[in-house]
Amino acid sequence: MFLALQEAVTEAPFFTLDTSQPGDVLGAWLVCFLTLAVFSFLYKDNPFYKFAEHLFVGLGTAWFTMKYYEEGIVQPIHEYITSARAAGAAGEVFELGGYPLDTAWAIGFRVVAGIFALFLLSRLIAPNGWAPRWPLAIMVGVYAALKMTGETQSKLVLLLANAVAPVTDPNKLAWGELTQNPGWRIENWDMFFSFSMGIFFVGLICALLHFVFTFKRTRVLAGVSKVGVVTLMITFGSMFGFTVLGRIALLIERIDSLDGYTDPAYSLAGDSGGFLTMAFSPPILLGAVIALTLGVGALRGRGGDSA
Amino acid sequence: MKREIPILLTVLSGLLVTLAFFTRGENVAAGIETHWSKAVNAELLQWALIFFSVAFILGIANLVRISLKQIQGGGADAFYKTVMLIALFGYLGVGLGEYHGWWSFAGEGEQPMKLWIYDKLFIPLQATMFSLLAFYIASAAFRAFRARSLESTLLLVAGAIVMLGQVPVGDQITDGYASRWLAFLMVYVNGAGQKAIIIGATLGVLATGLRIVLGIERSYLSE
Amino acid sequence: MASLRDFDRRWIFLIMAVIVVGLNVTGGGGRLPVSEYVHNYYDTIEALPEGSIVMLSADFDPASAAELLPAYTATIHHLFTKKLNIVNVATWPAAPPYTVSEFGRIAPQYGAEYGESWVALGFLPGDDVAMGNIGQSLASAYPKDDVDETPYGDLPLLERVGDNMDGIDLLITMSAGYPGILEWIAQVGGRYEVPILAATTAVQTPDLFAFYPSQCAGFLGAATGATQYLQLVDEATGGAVEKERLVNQKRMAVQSGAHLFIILLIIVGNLIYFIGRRGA
Repeated sequence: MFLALQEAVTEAPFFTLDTSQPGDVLGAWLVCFLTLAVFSFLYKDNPFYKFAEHLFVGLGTAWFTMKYYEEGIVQPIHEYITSARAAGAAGEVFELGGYPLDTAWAIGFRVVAGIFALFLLSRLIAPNGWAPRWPLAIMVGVYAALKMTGETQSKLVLLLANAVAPVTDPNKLAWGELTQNPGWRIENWDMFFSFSMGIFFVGLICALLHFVFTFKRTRVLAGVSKVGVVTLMITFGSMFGFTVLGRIALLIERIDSLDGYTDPAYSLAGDSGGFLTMAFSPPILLGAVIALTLGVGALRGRGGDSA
Repeated sequence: MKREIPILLTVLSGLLVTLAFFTRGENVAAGIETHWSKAVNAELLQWALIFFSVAFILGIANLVRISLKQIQGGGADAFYKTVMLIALFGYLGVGLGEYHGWWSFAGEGEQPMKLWIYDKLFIPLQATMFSLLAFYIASAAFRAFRARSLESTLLLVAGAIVMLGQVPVGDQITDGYASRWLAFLMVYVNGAGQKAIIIGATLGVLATGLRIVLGIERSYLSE
Repeated sequence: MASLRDFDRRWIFLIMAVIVVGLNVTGGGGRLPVSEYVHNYYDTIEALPEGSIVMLSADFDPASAAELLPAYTATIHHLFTKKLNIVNVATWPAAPPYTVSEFGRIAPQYGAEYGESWVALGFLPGDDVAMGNIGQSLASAYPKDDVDETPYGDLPLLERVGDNMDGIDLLITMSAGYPGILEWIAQVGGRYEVPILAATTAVQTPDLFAFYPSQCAGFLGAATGATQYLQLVDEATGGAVEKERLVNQKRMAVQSGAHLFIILLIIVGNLIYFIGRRGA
C-alpha cells in the first residue's frame, strides 16, 4: 500500500538499535499490537486494552521519572556543584544569572536547595510534618511571582497595547491574508477595514463587559453582554472546529503508521505475494487475532459491555 | 512556627523574583552591570526547578505504594497493576543504568535501549490513546451538538466554517469562500473573543499572584 | 426516531474508521493555499542573516507528534538551508528523543557539525520556571549539554550565545499545550523582546490569533499550517522534504473526508432531534 509515497521495505533485521537501518521486525509487531490493543477499547473495555493501558502508565511514569531525575536533580545539584568547584579550582569567575559570585557561595546555596529537597521527601515518612512545607512555600512564591509579572506584562499590558495598535498602523493587524491571496482582493479596502475593526472592537469590549459582575445587570448591560456572549460562542465554535481537526490528525497518523507496517519485511509470509504478504502482516494478522478473541469472548457472554 | 516560616519563605521568594523583574541585566554599551537580584532570581528559579522534580518523584512513590496495596489485596486488577510496576521498574532500570553507565545494550553509533523502548512501546501507546478521541468527538457530534438556541447555532456554524476552511475540500465545495470566511472569523471575531478571555484570565493570575506574594492567600498550606 | 437517536455509537466509530482507512489507502491530495501566518513564519526565518542563532524549543510529545513533527522536520531543514545555527531546548520530558532522531537524520545532510552549527541542551523541568530560567541564564539552566555531557562553555556555539537571550536572534517553539507558546510569550517574549514563532497543535491555534502578529510573528497552525509550510520549504530546498510534503498533503485529503463526515453527523443529529421534537 501507499507505494506512491514511499518505497516498501523488503528486508529488515529482527532486532536492532542501529537507527540507520530500517525499523526492526520485533518493533513492528510490538507497535502494531499496542496500537490495535488501544483501538480495541472502541469495541469495549477488554484485557488487551487494560494491558496496554497499564503498560503505558508504567512506561510513561518511568520515562518522566528518568527525565526529572536527570535534568531536575543530577544536573542542577551534582553537575552544577562539580562545575562550580572546577571553576573555583581553576580560578575562573563563576557567574550566577550573569552576576559574578564566589564559588563557595554558589555551592553553599545549592547545598541548601538539596537539603530543602530532602525536606520535601520527608513527606513519605511524616506526611503532616513541618519540613515539606518549606520547599513547597518557596516553590509557590517563585511560581506566583513569575507568572504574575510575566503574564501581566505580556498578556495584559502588551496584549491591550497591540489590540489598539492597528487603529493607527494597519500593518499591526493580521489582515494581509484577506488581500494577499490571489482572488481575495477587496475593492473598497477602507470600508472593509473600518467594518472589520468595528466588529473586532465591539466584540472585544462586549466580551470583556460580559465578565463584569460589579454592576447590576441593566437592560443596556444585558444587551452588551448578549453581544459579548455571541462573540464568545463564535470563539468557542472555532475552538471546537480546530479540536476536531487536531483529533482527526492524530487518528490519521496512527492509521498511516499501521499502513507502513504492511511492508513485506514485516510479514510472516515474507515477499511471497500480494494477498498472503498482506494477510500475514502485523496490522492485519494482529487485528484479526484481537477481533477474533473479542468476538469469541462476546459470544461466550464474558465481561460486561461498557461501550 | 509551622505556619509563619512557610508564609515568610513564600513572601520573601515571591518578592525577590518580583524585584528581579524590575531590575536590569548587564548592558555593556550603557555601562550597566547586572543587578544582584538577577543572581538571586536565577538561584531561586533553580531551587523551584529542583523542588518541582523532587515533588514529581514523590508522586511516583505514592503511585507505587497504592499499586502495591492493590496487588496485595488481590482482585481483578492485580495482574495489570503488576504489569504496570514491572514496566515502571524495568524501564527505570534500563534507563538509569544507561545514564550512569552501569550497563549498555548499544554498540558503537547505536541508540540506547531506552530510546528503542520509547520508540516501539511508548510512542504507539501514547499517540493511539489520544487518537481515540477522534472517534468520541464524532459520536458527540451526532448525539450532543444541538442547535437549540442562537448561541449554540453560532457555535456549530463557526465550528463548521473552521472544519471546512482548514481542508482542501472546503474551498472546492464553497467556490473558495470557506478559507476566506475562516480568515475573517479567526482574525476579527475569534481574535476579539480570545483577547477578552486572556485578559480576564490574566487579571485573575495577577490578583492571585499578588495575594500569594503578599502572604494573604494561604490555602496552599491547607489552612 | 428514538431508535435512530439511540443507536449503538460503535457504528459511528466503524464508519469513521472505514473513511480514514479507505481514504488513506486510495491516497490523493494536492497543494494547499498558503495562509498569511504561515507565510510570515517562513519569511521571518528567511529574513535572518546567515549565522544567526535560533533557539528551537521542542514542547511536544508523541500524543501531538502527528501535528508537530512535520513542522519540526521542515523547520530544521529550513534553518540549515539558510545556514542558521540552532540551540535546542525542550520543556516537555518526552520531546528530546525527537530532537535526537531528527537532528541525527537531517544535520549530516547539510554537513552541520554538532557544537558549531547546532547543540542539544535537552529537557528542563519546571514549565514556566524552566522558561524563566532559560531566559534569565542559559548557562545556569544547562550546566552541560544533552548529547555527550559537554560543559556549557566548551561548545563554540554556546560561547557565541553567551549567557542570556541577547545572544538569541529568534525563538521557535513546537507547542503542544502547557507549557508552550503562551508561556514563552509571557516569560521570554515580553521580558527579553525576542521575536517568537510557533508551530501549534490545532487545539492551541485559536489562542494564537490574540497574539499574532505583534507578539508571535507567524505560526504554523495545526496539520494544515505544517503542510503549507512543508510546501514552501520543499520548494526552497529543492525537494528535501518531498516525502513529508506528499504524506501530509495526502493526510489533508483524508482529513477532508473525516471533516465532511462530522459535519454530516451534526446535520443528521439535529434533523433527528428537531423532527423528533415536532413529533412529540
